[in-house]
Amino acid sequence: MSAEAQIDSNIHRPFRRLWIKRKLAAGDYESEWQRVDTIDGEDQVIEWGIVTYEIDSDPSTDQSTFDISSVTIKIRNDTGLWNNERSSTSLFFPDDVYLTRKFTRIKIEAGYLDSDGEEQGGCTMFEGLIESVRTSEERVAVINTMSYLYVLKNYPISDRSYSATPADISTLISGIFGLSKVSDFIYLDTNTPALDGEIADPSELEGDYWQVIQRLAFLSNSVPVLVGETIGSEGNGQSFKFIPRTPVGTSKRVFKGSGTSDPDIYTIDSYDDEGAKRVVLRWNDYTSSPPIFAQSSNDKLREKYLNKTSEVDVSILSSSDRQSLLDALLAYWENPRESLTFSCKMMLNNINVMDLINISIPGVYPDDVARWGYGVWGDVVGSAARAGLAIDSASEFLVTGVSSDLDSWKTTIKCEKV
Amino acid sequence: MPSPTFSFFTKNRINSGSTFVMTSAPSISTSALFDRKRTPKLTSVGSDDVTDEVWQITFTGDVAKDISAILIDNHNIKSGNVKYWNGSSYVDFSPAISLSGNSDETSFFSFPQVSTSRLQFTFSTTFVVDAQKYVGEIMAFDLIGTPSRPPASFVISQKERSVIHETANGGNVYVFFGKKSKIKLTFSDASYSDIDLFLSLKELGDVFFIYPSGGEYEGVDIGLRMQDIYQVNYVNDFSPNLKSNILEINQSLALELQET
Repeated sequence: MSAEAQIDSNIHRPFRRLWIKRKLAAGDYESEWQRVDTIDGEDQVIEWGIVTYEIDSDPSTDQSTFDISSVTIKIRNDTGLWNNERSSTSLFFPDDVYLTRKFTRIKIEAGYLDSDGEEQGGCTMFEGLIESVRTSEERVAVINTMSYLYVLKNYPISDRSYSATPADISTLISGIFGLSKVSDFIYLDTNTPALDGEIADPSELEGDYWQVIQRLAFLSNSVPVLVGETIGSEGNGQSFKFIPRTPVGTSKRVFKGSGTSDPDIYTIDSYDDEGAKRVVLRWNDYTSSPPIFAQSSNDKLREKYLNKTSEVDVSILSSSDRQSLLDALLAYWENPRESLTFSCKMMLNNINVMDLINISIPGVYPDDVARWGYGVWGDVVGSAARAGLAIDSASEFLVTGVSSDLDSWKTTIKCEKV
Repeated sequence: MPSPTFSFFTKNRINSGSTFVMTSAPSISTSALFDRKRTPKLTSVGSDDVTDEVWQITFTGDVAKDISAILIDNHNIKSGNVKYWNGSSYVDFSPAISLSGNSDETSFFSFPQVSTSRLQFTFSTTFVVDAQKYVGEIMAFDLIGTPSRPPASFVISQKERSVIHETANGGNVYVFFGKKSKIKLTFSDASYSDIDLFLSLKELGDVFFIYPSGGEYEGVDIGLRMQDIYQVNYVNDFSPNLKSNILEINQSLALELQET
C-alpha cells in the first residue's frame, strides 16, 4: 500500500526515528547519521515534539515571513548518554573526538508501516541543530533544537561587503546560498521571485542574512520557504525555495470534513469566513518623491474596509521597479481571503507550505431540529446551505502553515482561499 | 518434543557500538539487526544464490565477550554458516553452526561458551532462489541460567501505546505506536539454585533477555514461539517465600518482567 493509502486508512501505524551527526574535533561532521531513538533495543524517546512550518509567521510584518519551529525532544538519560562530552557515558565522549553537543545535526524521520509491516512514505520531518541539552535528576534529557534558519540568522549581511552597484534580487539570493557556510546546511532549490526587481544599492541592506532574505522576499512579492525535503541519499540539509506567493501545480488533496462519508479532518480549530483581517486597499511608498501608491479600484471594497492603507518603504528598489511592486501587492492583498485552521490525519511531508488543496465540508443538520423553510413535501434540503460552516469541494486553498504533532500523530494545517 | 525452558540471557553483544563489514548490505541500515523489532530488516543489494553475502560484526571496541547462543530471526536464509574470531581467524563453533536446506524464519543455536570479539555470518542461498538475503534481528549472548523447573504460571500481556482521534463525523482513526510485553512468572517450587538465579537477575544491574521457548520448543502460543524473546527489566520486589516456613523444601517466587 502507498503512503497515500496509509493516510486514507483509519488505522495508522507510524514509525519515527531520531538521528544525529556529531561534530568532530576538527570542526567537520561525522560522515554517517547515528540512530538514537533506539539504542541496543531500548526505546529512548519519551516525547517527539511538534514541527511547524509557516509563512506569514510574524504578525507584526504580516507578509513574506517564514519560520520553522524549534523542536523539543524529551529523551531517556538514565545511562548518561546525553551528558556532556566530558562524561564517559556520553554519546559525545571523548572530548578529543567530539566537540560538544551544541550544533550537532539532528533529524526526525517519520512514516507509516503498512499491513505487511513495510515502510511507506518515510521522510525527514525536521532537520536542524541541537541548541542545548538539559539533563536532570529525573534521568531524562530535554533536547532543544533549532532549524537551519539559525545558520542564516548567524551571519550579518555586512560580511558580504556589497558595493553600491545595482543587483537583481535573484542574484543576491543565489549569492547568499552560494556560500559554503550556508550551502553546507541549506540547498537553494528554487530561486524564482515573482518580481525580480533591482536593488539600487545592495550595500544599504542591513541585518543578518535571514532578515535580508525576508526583506528581499517582500520587495519581490515572494515568499522564502525552507522545506523538509532531503537532498541525495545522505539526506544532508534542507531545500530552500524563493518563490511567488502563488500555488504551483494542481491540488494535492481534497480534505474532507463534516458531512462527508469518510472524513480525514478531525476538528476545525479556527475559521475566518470573511478574511478581512489582512485586507490592504492602498499601498503607499512614503519614501519616493513624489510619493507613489497603488489603490484598489473596487469602490465596494474600499467602502467596506475603510480604504485600509499600508505605508511601506521600498526605496531600496530601483525606482523603475517600485510601482510594479505596489501594484502586485495590491493585486494580492486587496481581496479578502477566507482562511481556516484544521487538524487532520498525519500528512507527513505530503502537504507542504505553498501547496494547493481543496476542502470539502458539506456540513450536517442535527437530525432532531426543525429547519426553517422546509416544511413542504418535496423541498430539496440537500441543495441548500446546510450548516454554519460549509465549504464547497471546488474551493481551493493555499497552505500557509503545516504543523506535525509527532506524539499524537496528527497534522494541523493553516490555509487561505486562493 | 522439548519443553519450554524459560531461559535467561545477557544483553545482545551486537549493539550500536559494533562495527560491520558487509558484502552488499547498506551500513546505514545495520541498526535493524539489534533494534528489537523483527520487521525492519537488513537486506543485501544485488545478491544471488551464487554470491555469498558475508557480514563480519565486531563487538564494541573489539573487546572479547562471552557468548553461548546465537539467534537469527525473521530471515530467509536457506544455507549458510556462522563462525567466530579466535584471535587470528574465523573458526567454527563446536558444534559448527550451519544452515542447510533450512526453511525456518527463526534459527537458534546454542554451544559451549566461547570468548570472542567478532562474528562472521555467511549467507549463501535463500528460500526463494536468487532473492535478496535479509535478516530482521541477530542476537549473540551468553546464557545467564535456566530454572530447574518451569513456572507454575506464565502470564504475558501487551501494553500498547495508542491514540484515538475522533473524526469530524464522530468516527475514529486509531493510531498504534507500538506495544511492549509484561510478563509474570510464578514459580511455586523453585530450588535454591533457581532462587540464586533470580537473585542474580535482580542484581545484574542491566537488562536481560527472557526466552520462554528456550530456542528448542517450537510453540504456537504467543510467548512460546521461537521468535518470542523479550529484553526486559525485573521490576517487582525480590521476595522468595518459604513454603510453610520449613527450610528443607523449595520456595515460591513471582517475577514481574517488563520489556524495555
